[in-house]
Amino acid sequence: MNSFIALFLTPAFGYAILRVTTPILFASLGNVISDKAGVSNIAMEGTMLTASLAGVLVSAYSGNAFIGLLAALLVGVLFSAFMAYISLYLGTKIIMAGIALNLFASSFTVYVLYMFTGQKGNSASLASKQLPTIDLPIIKNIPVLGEILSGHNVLVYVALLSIVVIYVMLNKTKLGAHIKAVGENPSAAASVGINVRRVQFISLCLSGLLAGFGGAFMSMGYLSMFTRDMIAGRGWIAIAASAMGRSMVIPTVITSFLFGIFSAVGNVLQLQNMPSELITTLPYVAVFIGIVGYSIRKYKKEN
Amino acid sequence: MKKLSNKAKNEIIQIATAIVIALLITLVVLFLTSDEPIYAFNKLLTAPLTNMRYFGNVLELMVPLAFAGISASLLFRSGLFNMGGEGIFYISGIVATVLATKHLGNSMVHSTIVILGASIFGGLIACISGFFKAKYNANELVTSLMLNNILFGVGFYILKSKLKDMSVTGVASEQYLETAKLQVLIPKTNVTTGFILLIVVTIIIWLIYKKTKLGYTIKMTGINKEFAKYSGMSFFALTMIVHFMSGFIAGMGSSVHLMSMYDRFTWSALPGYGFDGCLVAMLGKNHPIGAFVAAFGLSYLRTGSDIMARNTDVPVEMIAIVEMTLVLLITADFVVKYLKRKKAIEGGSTNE
Repeated sequence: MNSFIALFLTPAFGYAILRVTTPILFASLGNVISDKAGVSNIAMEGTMLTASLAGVLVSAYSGNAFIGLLAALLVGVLFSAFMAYISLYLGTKIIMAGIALNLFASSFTVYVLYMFTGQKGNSASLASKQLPTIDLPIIKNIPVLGEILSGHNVLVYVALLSIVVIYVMLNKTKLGAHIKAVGENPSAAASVGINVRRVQFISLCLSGLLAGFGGAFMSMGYLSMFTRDMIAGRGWIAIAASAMGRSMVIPTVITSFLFGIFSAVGNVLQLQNMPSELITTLPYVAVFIGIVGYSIRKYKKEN
Repeated sequence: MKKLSNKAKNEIIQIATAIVIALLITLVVLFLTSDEPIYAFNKLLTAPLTNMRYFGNVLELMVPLAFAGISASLLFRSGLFNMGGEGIFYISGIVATVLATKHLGNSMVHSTIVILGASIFGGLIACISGFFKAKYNANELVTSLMLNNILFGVGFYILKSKLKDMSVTGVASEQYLETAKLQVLIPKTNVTTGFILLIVVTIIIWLIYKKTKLGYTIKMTGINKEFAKYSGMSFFALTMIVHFMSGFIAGMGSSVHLMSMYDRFTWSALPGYGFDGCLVAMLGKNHPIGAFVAAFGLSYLRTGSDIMARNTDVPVEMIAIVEMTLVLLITADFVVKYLKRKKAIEGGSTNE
């Protein structure tokens, strides 16, 4: 039993948590922004997937990882802008548009990949670039903490930074105030001269930008290539995380990390000869219990 | 009466416009990426009609799509965004497999037990999300998505540890008994009595919508959640009934599909029918007959694109572009808006 616990008390485990949480963090923060504006972006999965392919293709053809990252971000924003246009201006329900776009992205990325590489499974034949890792000065020399925090892909630090940026944006800026006003009461917001659709459009684009970061991390950090359906449910987990965090920045960040921890535990347990089919359900069971538990508590408080 | 026919007319214009635009986009994509665009386009659209086997493929594939679509449309119509069909298809398939590999009676009896067992199980599983939604208002979209992955994990574990046939390579259950399988209707295809069952279910759901208080309540609750209270049926009861029906139909779709097309259970991933069902429901405007027609259309397109991919340089995934265009254009109300605006301009009014 002691040796079992020891598996989780290593710096490598802490390092893994940060790495696993990063894409979920990006996507769940993106969801927080759009949820706050009263529009739920459930196309996170597809947005990240499309962005991760864009990053790989552009970095391979430009030879520069950062140009690849820019492309991933641009595609993330355009993908969300498209969904926003369809739902805000043409009248498709946004959840419906999200479902359709997720399915679309899953096949469309394979189609584009095939057009460029002749392969349908992965982009291994392309010399795509990886975003650099960063050693944090001073911190890297601290034992344990240095091993956990230092030496990550640059986007891991961007994800941590974006927590602060988004918190400030939502709580201290005019845009943040407009987003919250629109989400809480659209007609009241409109009556004081806020352009509701425009604010919602911007929020969706911002959530697409974050999904772009998440996608770029997946194919240019977490892995060094694009593989078919590589987001593998992280977009859905992010939706669950922001739902559990009631669309507030800090609780959502905490839930995202809980997820990361459960996933990292799952990854370790799988190496211990446990039935991997059951272990992989661990993070989903955790969210399920979390969501239900929260709802029951709220129900009891109200009644 | 006149208003109703106007609405129907608008919908027809909208759907026709959507199809024309989708076909144009397909042509453009083919011209940009293929060496033989016209040949590919022709294959895509006409190949399924060229022989009975291909047309049989269309009908075979439309069965699970239509069941999944009707299942999803029940929920969407009541304003519930539950996407759990995916997991239910998997776990009900496992239940059907358990039942279909045991001697439980002669042909008719055995296949009925298999389908009923899988359907009832599917209904009960759907009630998990349903219950937490109905009683505690837990977000059904999130719980059902989580359940999809949980049910897959549990189902795949059962398949690997309990049902696996050790004499074959790969993960597959033991062979289904002949008595469990559905009877073939069209020779040399896998179109079975399951197709008749699909027609029956479509008609029953249509009648429920049209003739019963339940159907009326479903529709009104979808428009305004508060309505269930005033209709004499509690939101709790309505949510549970709709979830059970939806899961029941998804479980039926899964077992019918397996007993028509498969000899063993071999799914090592979620089959995708649950999410496809959401597309079908959207295309069919949350109506059972709409879903039936949409499933046919989607199945036709997919069969066509499959044949096209085998004969040309265009990969089968191209069809996703057509599907998305269709879904987004059919669910948008741009035609109605355009007509309204036109009328407003003609009438000299500036209001939209």
